[in-house]
Amino acid sequence: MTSPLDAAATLAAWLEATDIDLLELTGPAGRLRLRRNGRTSADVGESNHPEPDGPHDGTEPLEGVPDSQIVRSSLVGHVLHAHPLRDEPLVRADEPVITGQVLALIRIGALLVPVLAPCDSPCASMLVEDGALVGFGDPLVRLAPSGEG
Amino acid sequence: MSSAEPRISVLGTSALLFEAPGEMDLPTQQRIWALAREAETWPELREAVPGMNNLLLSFVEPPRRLDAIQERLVAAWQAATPLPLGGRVVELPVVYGGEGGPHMADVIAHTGLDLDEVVAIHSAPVYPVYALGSHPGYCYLGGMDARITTPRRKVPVIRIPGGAVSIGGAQTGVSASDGPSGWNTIGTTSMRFFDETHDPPALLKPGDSIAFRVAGVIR
Amino acid sequence: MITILSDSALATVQDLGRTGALRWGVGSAGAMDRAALTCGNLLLGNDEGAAAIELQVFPFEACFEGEHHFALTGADCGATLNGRPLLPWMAGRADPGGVLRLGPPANSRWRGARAYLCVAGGIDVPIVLGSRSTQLRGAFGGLEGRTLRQGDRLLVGAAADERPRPVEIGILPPALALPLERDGLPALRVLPGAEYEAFTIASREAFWAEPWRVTPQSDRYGFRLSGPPLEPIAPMELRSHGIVPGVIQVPHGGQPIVQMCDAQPSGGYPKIGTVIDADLWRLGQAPIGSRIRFIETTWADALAARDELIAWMADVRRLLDLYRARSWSR
Repeated sequence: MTSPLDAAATLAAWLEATDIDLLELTGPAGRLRLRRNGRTSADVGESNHPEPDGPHDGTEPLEGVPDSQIVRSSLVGHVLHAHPLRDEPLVRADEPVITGQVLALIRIGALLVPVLAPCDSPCASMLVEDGALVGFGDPLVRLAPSGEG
Repeated sequence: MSSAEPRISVLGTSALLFEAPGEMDLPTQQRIWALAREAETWPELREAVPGMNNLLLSFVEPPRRLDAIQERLVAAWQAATPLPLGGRVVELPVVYGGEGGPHMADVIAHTGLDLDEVVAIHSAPVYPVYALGSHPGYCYLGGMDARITTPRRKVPVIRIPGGAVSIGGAQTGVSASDGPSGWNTIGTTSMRFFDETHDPPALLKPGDSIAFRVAGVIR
Repeated sequence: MITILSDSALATVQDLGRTGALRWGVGSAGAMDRAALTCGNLLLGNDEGAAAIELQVFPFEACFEGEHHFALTGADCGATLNGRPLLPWMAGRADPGGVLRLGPPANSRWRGARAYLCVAGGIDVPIVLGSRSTQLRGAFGGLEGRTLRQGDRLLVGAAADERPRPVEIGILPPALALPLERDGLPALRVLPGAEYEAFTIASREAFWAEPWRVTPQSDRYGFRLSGPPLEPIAPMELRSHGIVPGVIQVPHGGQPIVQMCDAQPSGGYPKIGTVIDADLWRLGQAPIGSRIRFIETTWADALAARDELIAWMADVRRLLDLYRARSWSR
């Protein structure tokens, strides 16, 4: 995962094309805020927050949960628990998921990018609310390892 | 249409419809052909398609304002002189009545004429092709004798075969392919009016003429 | 290659339609929902006007004989690939032998009537008079100028190297992104037609105020609507004149018929108005038995609606380009 500064140009292009007005990313290298007021501007400053423990790639670790059981966002956008045309959520609390299954959708403008299960799991749970705005690396879904219910 | 001014209306944002005033006749149609030929050269138009004393003008893209093109059309109409498109006369052999003419009895009943009179009156004129439309290769013909005018059917027929010779109101025509029709079918002819592999694909064009030759009468 | 497995009626190969052939009596044909066709093609990196299969009757089943990227847009038909559920308005990949199955359109947030099976490379049938759309009357274009039958095998165009690659993501359906309703019913903007003022005031008011039901006699040729009878002030006999899809004719009996993609390109009935080109996709997706409303509009507003649809499509295109570029750099 590259630093937020390197991603600024890409993020700026995304913001121009969508309805997201403000995006703030915080990481060990500082804070990046991209605001869309008709045009996109970026502020980069020292982070006001204490450095988080864990990997120096700007991602937030979950307490005690191995990374292999967390599905993280690879995009900026709004998380959808269900396809906009359908009522039923993509992940049901007590049902197993299989590799490649769509767990959630990330909406960025008019695009719906599927979040896929990287492996089989007996149980998946959503870590963000329906409609929440997420950024690169944000944890989205927790997958119980095989053997756990 | 009895007003002296042409009428221009919109067909959604795709096209304009220009309607010539006055009685429907061949000199007016020849002016429509002239207008079509002029309008075809305008870059904002895709096609200028004659109808019966009217003209459909399809847009490449709809203009922001309509007044400019409307004024231009009216001016071009006023300047348009009848364009006598010389064309060929195509002779079609027709078998009148019988199974190929299922509505001959309705025409006889409506007009008060007998079978031989209807056949004689229908096959006498040379009919100019006013326009193409309705379905691929179909020709709208002018010049039908008013004595055999028969209103369109209240209930259209689901499928009339290609080659059906019919009367609808004051007009006559020949179907170029199988399809529904609200006209009164009085006979049948065999002729390929449309071949999509040819250039142009339609056999006939405005300015050509059709003559119906009596190949048989089934009583 | 795609093989049609089911006996589904009324499926045809369509693209964005045939233009420039009105002069020979050839109407446009083309997809009833052009927005859906375009979106499917954009996901796959096709030309926007690449040909696809339009489906109107379900269930439908087809087999991908080779590896193909495909996209299903239009009505949500609970599609499966080898039994595994697919999400609607999304592109995916099928291995050789993959079986695609669609059921009837679902009664979800939006119920459409027609689905589009788009494939990377497009359906490869000959171009006739500038288009691959099926011209049923006259029997040319599409696959042999006819509806598809069980056992038909459709060639798929080769995906050219310089084309954008397919992306296995989805697009928000325009029915949700660009909603248009009146009193809770799907609505269509209409420009009054040449004979609008030849109808009684009561009829004109009813035309805008009342819901219209899509009767079972509604298809690619025209949608017959039922509602209050529309009465002319005096009987009218019109000369045959050119028309376009969207024209709303009112024959004797007073029940309107909206001419659709396979309609005759000319007619002689009075025209009360025309559904604007930018809203034809909405009508094309109105199911039999559903009700719609008409919204009176002006030339300027009709152009604004057209601009809005074009701009939305441009946004989709731009986002897809960004997404493709992003994926390359990962």
